[in-house]
Amino acid sequence: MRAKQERPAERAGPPVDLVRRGDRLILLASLPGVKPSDLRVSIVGDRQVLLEGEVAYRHPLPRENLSLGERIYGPFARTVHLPLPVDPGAAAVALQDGVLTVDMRVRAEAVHLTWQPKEAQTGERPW
Amino acid sequence: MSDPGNVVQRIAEQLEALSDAFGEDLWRELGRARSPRQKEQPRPKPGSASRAGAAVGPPLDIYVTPHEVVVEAVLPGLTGPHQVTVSLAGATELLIEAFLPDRLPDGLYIQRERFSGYCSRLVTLPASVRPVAVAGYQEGILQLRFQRTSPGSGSQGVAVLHVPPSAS
Repeated sequence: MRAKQERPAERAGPPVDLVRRGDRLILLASLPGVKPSDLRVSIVGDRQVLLEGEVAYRHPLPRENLSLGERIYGPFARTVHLPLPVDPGAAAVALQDGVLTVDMRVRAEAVHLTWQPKEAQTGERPW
Repeated sequence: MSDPGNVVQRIAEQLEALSDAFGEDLWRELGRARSPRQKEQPRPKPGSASRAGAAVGPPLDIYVTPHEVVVEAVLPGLTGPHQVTVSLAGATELLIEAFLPDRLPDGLYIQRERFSGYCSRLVTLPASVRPVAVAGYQEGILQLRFQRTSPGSGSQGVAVLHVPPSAS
C-alpha cells in the first residue's frame, strides 16, 4: 500500500458521493489533478470500492518557490463502503474533468409494495 | 470613479457573508484541515499581501515567471466556461467565481460529500498583471495565465524556471 498515514490528504481521501439511480449505484469522487494513469479503482468483494492514486506535482518550478501553494499533492487512498451489493463485473469507470464516476449495477431485487388504502372517509394516506 | 480599494473591500465583505453560508461544506469538500471559521483571523486590509491565506474558496496555486503570473484553481466538475467568472480589480486583486453543477441531479443521493453550487475566491496576486488571461481547464484544474504589466525577475526574486528532478 502506497498510502502513508501522516499525510492529511491520505487520511481523509477524496470526497465521495453515492447516488442511486434505477438499478445503478453510482460513485462520484472529486479527484482534481489526477490523470487516469495515476489512478487505480478496485471493487473489493461486492460491497467496497477502493480508490488509490496520486496527485502529481507538475509545476515548472519547485514547490517552495510558489507564491501561493494550497493544492495537496501526493498519494491518496480511500475505501468506500457500499450500502448495497453490486456486480463487480458490470461496472463502468470514467475520469473526466477531475471527477471519477464508477457506475455499478446493484445486486438486489426491488420489492414490489402493495399499499392497502384506508377507509375513504378518513382521507388519510396509507402511511 | 469608485476607489478600487473600496470596491475590493465590499467584495471581501460579500464573500465573507457567502462563506458563512457555504464555507463549511466547501472546506470539507476541498479536504482542508481547517475551516475559515476555525481560523478566526482578523480581516486584513485591502491590498495586503497576506490576504490570500484568510480567504475562502477553491484552493489555489500561484507562481510567477518573468513574464506571467500563473494561477491554478481546484474546480472539479465544471462542464463549461459559462460556469466561471474571473474579475480583476486594479492590477492585483483577482476574484474567481464558479458554479459547480450537480453531476446527477435526478439521482437519489445516499451519501453526499462533494461540493456543488457557487464558490468564490478573492486573492491578491504577487505581481501586477494586465486584465487579459489565457485560460485552460484540464483534469478539474482551472489555469489562468496573466501577462505581467512589467516583466520582472520572478516570484520573490526567483527567476529560474526549471523542471524539478523526477516528480515521483
